[in-house]
Amino acid sequence: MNEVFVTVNGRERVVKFINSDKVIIDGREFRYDLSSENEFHYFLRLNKKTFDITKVAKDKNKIAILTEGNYFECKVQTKLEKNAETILAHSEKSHHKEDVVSPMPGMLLKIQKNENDEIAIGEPVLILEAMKMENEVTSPYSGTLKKIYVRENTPVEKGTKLFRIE
Amino acid sequence: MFKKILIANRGEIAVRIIRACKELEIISASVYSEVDKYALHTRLADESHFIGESLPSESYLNQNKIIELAKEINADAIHPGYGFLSENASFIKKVETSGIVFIGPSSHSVELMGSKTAARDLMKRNGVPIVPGTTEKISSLDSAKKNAKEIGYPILLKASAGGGGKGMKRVFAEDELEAAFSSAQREALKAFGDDAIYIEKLIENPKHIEVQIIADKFGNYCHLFERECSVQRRHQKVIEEAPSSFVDVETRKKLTTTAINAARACAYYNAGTIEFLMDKHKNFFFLEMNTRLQVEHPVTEFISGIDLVKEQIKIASGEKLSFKQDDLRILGYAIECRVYAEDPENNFLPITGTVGYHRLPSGPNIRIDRGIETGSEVSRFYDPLLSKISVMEKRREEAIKRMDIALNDYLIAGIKTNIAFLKRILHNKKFIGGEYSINLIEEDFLSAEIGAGDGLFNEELENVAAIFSAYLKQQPQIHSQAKKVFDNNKWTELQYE
Repeated sequence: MNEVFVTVNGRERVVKFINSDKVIIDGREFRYDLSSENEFHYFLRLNKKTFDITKVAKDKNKIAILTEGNYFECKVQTKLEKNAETILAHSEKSHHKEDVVSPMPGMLLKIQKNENDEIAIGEPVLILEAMKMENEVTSPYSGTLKKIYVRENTPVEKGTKLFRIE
Repeated sequence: MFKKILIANRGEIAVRIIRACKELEIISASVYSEVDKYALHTRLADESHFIGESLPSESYLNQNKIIELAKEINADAIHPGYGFLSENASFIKKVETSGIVFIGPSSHSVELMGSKTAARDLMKRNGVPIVPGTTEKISSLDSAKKNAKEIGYPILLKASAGGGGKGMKRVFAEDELEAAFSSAQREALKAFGDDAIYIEKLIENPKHIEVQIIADKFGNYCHLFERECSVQRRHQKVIEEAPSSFVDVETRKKLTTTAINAARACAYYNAGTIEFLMDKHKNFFFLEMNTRLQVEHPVTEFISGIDLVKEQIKIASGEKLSFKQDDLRILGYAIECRVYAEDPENNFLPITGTVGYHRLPSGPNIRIDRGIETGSEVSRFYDPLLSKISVMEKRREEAIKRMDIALNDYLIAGIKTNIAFLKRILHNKKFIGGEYSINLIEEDFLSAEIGAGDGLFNEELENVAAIFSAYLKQQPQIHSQAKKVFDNNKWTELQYE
């Protein structure tokens, strides 16, 4: 099988499966066994210890898990995907261009910034009301607030595009 | 004793009350909204009744519907749990006049304590120390400015009708006041239907210490010691413990005596909690009274050996307290962790979704209160509290250890929770040393990069995460492949097709 690039806690590991009980991580060989009870609950045996793993969320390049009370969000890429990302990053001079989406359903109460404002990472951009609490939605990047997709006093769903930082 | 109790709540607290009813051989009747049709509390009760759409105002907050239903099904009493209608004096008054017993204090006591400003005034007159600030409601920005200046920054804006951190804002200087004041007003109006605000001096780095009170209708008052609930995020409690490691015997004596005085001042009966802020010199100030059962009541039940919910029901039915103050001893150290569906890395925003898998910790002196299980839907309509884990041990360090292991054993899939975050708090030096204030999370967890470091993560676990996610990336269907664990069924002959 091919190599998979996994980033856990900011550190990348190269994982290569040799067969169904041997895996190489960054050149070191481990014996493992992976089984599942259902699509949410897995058992991973690594050396002498068995770990219970529950799947919290998964999309194409991201897998979030809980094991032994520890939560991990892992970025996973094939070699091909990683190469593509590197090329893309170079061509865009590694500028962040990203739509920020609503983390939850709620009511958009207030927009605190204007388009074309310079925004620092962590700076609040708008106030979202959910569960009767006002929640500040902050910018995950520093950059220019290129576009605000939403209007005040409108409901938003989880995943609704809120604004774009470039 | 009552024959049937209607439980006007949902989630883990409804489940808790249903169990108490069963133990007392009282018929439990639960109510459910559209999304809760097959929720745990709906299924566990002896009877369940549909009361309306999923929006709380249509169902769990619909006063008339609940009272009409109680009459229709011949319920003798209503238990409100916490939140929803539990501290709504007008609801309690309606219940009282309908001839149904409200399991909780009188509407009169709730009214006295419900307005935070009136309560502060009442406490002041009864010799209970209060946080310096206004005892009157403030409705204009000008008056807020004037009062804030007199009290002196930093200040805290609070909703007069408030609780649960809604409508609460800290203000450090006058130029922040306008935005904070209007935000507090908006939150207060939406949460409580009243935008009145009051101002308190911000006590810097205080501890949140509260005393559990219980009283019968014959004027017998007891306290069940204190709880410390200083671990808070967004003004809501996350970890609670009893007793407080900061409170010594002498302070405890003063604190509990003051708390009983506060309860007497509003002619209180049933279970209630007096909340205090305590500064580093162990001076304490009345914060508010919660005229209901608290979320964190399990830690008190652990250390006192008293079943608060059963006691509540007995008191409401007219019985005397089943114990005296001198019967009570602190039996150990108890800690509770609240497991929330939320994103600690994203300002603790609530998360919605379906619980794909749920396995609870177990073991000696581990208690779980829960409203969910595998398959449960966590909707946006209600509080994101999933369950509460409480543990007890002889000493605090041992209790922390037990909790840490219990959290390792907690498995939940399909929904992000604060479990890993709770573990990080348990490993925090200030927390372990007991030297932390209500600002612990803000100071130690929000300024630093969340999720990294703390010595909690180890190489082996990271390898586990790496192997698992790499495998899932390459073989997304592994769960449907041959390598299933439990596919040989010994009981085949008992299967009927």
